[in-house]
Amino acid sequence: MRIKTVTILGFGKWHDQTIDLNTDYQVLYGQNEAGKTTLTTFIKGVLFGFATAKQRYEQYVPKNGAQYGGELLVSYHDRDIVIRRISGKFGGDVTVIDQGKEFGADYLADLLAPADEALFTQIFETNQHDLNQIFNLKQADFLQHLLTIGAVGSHEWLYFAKELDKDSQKIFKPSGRKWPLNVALKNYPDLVQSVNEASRGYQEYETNARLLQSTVATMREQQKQVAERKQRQVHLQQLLDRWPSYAEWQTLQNYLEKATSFDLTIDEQYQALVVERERNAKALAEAQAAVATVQETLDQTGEFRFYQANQEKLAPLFEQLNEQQKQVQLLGLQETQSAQLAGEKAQLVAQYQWQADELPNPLTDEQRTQLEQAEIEINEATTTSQVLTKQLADLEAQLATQNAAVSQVEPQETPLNNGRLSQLSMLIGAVVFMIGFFLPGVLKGIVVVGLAALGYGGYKTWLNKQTAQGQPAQKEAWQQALAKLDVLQAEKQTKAAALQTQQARLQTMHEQSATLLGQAGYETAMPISQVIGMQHALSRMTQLATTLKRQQAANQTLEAALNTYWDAFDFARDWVGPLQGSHEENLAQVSQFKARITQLTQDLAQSNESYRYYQQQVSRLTATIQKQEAAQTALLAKANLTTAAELANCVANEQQRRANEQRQADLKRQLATDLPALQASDSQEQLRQQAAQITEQVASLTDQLQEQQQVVAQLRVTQAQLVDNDRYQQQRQLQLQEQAKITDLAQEWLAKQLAVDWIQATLKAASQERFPRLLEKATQYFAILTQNRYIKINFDETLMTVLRADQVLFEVGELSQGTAEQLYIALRFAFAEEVADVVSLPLLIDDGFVNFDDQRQVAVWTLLQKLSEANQVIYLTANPRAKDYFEADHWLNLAEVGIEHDS
Amino acid sequence: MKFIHAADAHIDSPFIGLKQAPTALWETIHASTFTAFKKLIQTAVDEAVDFVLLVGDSFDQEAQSLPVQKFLKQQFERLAAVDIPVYLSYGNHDYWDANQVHFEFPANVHVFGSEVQSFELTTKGHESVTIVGFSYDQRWVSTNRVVDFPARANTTYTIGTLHGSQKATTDTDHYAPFTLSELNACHYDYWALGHIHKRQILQERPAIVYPGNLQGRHKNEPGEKGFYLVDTKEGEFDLTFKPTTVIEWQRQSFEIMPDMSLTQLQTALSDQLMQSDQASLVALELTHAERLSSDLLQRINNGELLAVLQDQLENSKPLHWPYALKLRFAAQQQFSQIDQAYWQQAAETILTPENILEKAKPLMKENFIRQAIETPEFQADLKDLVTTILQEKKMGD
Repeated sequence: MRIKTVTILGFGKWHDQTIDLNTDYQVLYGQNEAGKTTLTTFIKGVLFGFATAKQRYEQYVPKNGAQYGGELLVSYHDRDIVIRRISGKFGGDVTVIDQGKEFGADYLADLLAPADEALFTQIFETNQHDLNQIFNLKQADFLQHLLTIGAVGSHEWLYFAKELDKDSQKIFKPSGRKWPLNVALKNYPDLVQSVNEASRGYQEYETNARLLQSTVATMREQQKQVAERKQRQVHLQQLLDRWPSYAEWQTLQNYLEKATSFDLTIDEQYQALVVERERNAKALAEAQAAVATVQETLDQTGEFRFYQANQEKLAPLFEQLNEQQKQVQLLGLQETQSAQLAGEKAQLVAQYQWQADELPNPLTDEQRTQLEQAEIEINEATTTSQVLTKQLADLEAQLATQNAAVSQVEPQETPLNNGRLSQLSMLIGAVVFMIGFFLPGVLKGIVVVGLAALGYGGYKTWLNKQTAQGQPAQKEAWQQALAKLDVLQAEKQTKAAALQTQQARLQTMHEQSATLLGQAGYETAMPISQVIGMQHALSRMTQLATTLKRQQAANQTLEAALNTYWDAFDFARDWVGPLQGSHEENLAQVSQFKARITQLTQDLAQSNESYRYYQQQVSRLTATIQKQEAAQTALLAKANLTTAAELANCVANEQQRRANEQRQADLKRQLATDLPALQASDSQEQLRQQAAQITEQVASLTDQLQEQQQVVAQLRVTQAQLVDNDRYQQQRQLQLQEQAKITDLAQEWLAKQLAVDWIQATLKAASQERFPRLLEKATQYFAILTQNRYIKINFDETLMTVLRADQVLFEVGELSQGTAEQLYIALRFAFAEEVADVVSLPLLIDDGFVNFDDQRQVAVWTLLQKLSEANQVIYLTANPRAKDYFEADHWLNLAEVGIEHDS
Repeated sequence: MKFIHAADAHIDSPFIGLKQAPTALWETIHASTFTAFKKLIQTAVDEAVDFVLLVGDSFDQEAQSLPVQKFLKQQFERLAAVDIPVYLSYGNHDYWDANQVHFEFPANVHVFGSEVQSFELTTKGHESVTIVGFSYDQRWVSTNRVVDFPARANTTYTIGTLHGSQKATTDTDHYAPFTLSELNACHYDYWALGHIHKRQILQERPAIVYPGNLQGRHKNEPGEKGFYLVDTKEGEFDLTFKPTTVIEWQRQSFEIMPDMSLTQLQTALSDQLMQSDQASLVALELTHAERLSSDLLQRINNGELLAVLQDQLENSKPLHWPYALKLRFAAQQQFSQIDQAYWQQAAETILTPENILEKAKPLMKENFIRQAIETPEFQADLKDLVTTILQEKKMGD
């Protein structure tokens, strides 16, 4: 970029001025206070911003009220651009006009990049102030400056680096003591120590935890031991409690060891044999008794022996017995018949009231016919009489009634008993009359008596009535009744007469029949019907007499035969008995005898059989019993015994043994698992001692356990306290806080140190890189400036030397100030040229080179023109001589620009 | 199914990078990890979740904190009281060391062993869940553990828990390195990750999630911290972030306006700091430092502004604590663009870790300094700082 025109609206002493500049180089001449510095400040200000309010004296605000600012017309990459800056914030308001377009500050920054104000100052601006500063440096620093000249603003950077180093040492000095980081580092271990101390809480906890663990383990072990001991204690006590049972068991054990067992089946078999034998013995006795009974029966029957002795006599008799029995029955039957007949005969005799020895003769047929005729006739007459009698009786009744009626009507004159007596006599008369009718023959007289009685009664009654007729009160009725009574009396008289006739006839007939009967030998008074009826009985009587006679004869025969039969048993009367009773009785006796004999015969037959049987039984049983005895003996022998008593003894022993065995088993079961322990013990006393020992151990262990429990409790309390203690965390946080502080300080220190290193390294690197080219140019410029007195600048790692034309080598420190300045200038310009390809801005050279002699001044002027090839050179000088050394059109006297001198 | 996925609680872990702070702040800081964890437990109880997943680094092994173990036990007992099981794995920070003191957790806490292991449970909604995972038994687990994870179980859901980081380089893969495709190959329904403190969802379906830690403990754990409350709705996993931050690490930037005085700066900055309702630890970055006068610049560089701000905010509620203040210059102007190459060239020799360590040699008495200096972060900061110094110098020109 090259500036073509500077237009100032108002800046310091300048206002409304336009200065055209040559784009290769432009010399601006002016005396002091001609506004040279103002102009360079303006140019810098337009490009990089005016000074702010803080840099009041660099602001150059116009005092005449002209507008602050102005513009530059620059040539940039073959085009013209206007850069305008007028008063405003942040260094003034910028307007860039490029190819008719307006832009702002950013555009300007882009145009100028990478240059900024500082860079511009460092590279493109040269003034005496800078040069003076250089030479105010110490020799060594100057050398360093030269060495690092290869970088932009190396001078300032080096200064800054030094300041930084100083600052950093206020934080930390490796050998220092009082600086903050030194102090912090020194104190830090103390903090670590206190953290460690605090962390011991954790270690203590860990230690305690382990201790607690082991203590708890021990405690558990002790608890276990106590539990075991207690269990043992209980066990021993149990053993002690069971000792009596054990002792008993032991005794039994000893007993049983000695005792031999006995096979009880022998006894069972033996007892079975005993039972069997007893049964057999009983059966034998029974059999023997049966034999004896049979024997006795046989011995004791005389009757049978009698029978056996007289069997020949008796056998036929027994054979006849049935016949005899029939005869007896027959006899009995016949006697019964005879008796019946005799009875009938007697009955007939009694019935007909016959004299047993004077029986009437039976009638002849004629007699019979006559009698029968007579009877018929009598019967007729009798009947007639009876009718008459009946009628009479009725009449009598009517009379009695009428009498009563009469009596009623009649006043009571006659006592009643009179009446009654008459009535009674009438009644008796009727009855007698009636009876008389039914009486044979003579007895009919009774009828008459009856009639008489009747008649008396009637009479009396009649009397009574007659007497009653006297009653006047009932005269008429009584009259009538009397009349009727009279009728009835009359009728009675008639009838009684008829009856008397009939009676008479009958009397005749009876007399005739009586004659007949007399003739025939019968009682004459006997009624005919009776005689006739008797006829049959009479013939029967005859028959009976005959039959009886015959039967008596037969019976006598039978009797005789039977008696003969009975007599035949006379020799056996001792066994049969005296046959002197009835036939039936005798028969019974004989029958019984026969039956007994028959029974005996049968019995004896059976007994013989039984006898044989029982005899066999007796033999068999006897043999069996003997066998059983042998078996018993064998059994006893098997058990090495001789007697049943011994066996019983053995059995009793065995049972005892078994009972003991059972008891032992029970005890063993009771003792169960304790048995081995009990067996292991010598004595109850030993057990007691053991129990006592255990009890003692339990007590001792329990004490220990309690102690351990206390230790555990204490440890737990400690642990709880440790758990709640957060001192470690606090210390740790403090430590971290201190670390942060130290780290921060370290960072700050390091940053400063590194910044220093970085600056130096950058400067060195740049120098080393650029130096070959830079040195070439610088050598050239240095030669120009020294009029070829110095022909070479050498540079190695740490040392810069210059070679004089006479081949004398000088170190920088050996140069005069002027020559040294020239060297610096040469290097500066060489550097500006070196970077021109990156940044090309006008070189602003303000009043430099005061320490240059005339010749070298001229040389500089020559050099400046040469430099304009790379950068526009704007040279501000107060040296009027310069005019002669520059082209006239490149020379401008600022005084001629029409400056208002109002500073 | 509803559960909590959390990791890296780092209970009782101290805060790093604070040089000074008022007592109240230290107390808040000390309580913060506890408080954050309590919030988690409270959420579990309030939401009646089916279970809680704690995927490693619940506390710092090296912190050897007894109170934290007691605290954890108590908090787990709160969950035990409402029958919420916890599935806990140990990570690289709380790796299982049999020699260390371990408090016995209640029975609802299921701790994964060093071998990959599965637990099964049934949710209140009668869904069956298999949870797979493992614990670190050393500081580093460089092997791929995903290969040990069993195939998807027959349960309604299978959840993998993994404390580790994605494969990067073999030099740095010390934390159960895995790749997403390896995880996907397991066909699980949800991958609950831990170890990375920055909350991030590596994959939506199936979800592969880092919940981040519960409370930031240094400047590199900025922003809101917490855990995920995961709820399944019709087979979909619905993730709700639940913040637990007690005090938040923040970076705030502030633009310096021209011609600002120290008082103006202080007022404007404190106003800005006080805006948030969330207690905060703030690293301030003041931009456009070039607008400051060199005098003011120097005063700020001397720490004057930060000190005044801290003084003013010491008792603020909620507490806002500016712990650092940095100046930034606009557009990173170069000190010299002409010599850019040389500056860069020099930087390459000077600002190397080796040279930095060489330079720091006099400070190397304490190991933590070395460790701090070795961190790339420190070195980056250092470079920033060096650059700023040079820029400040340039400003001063």
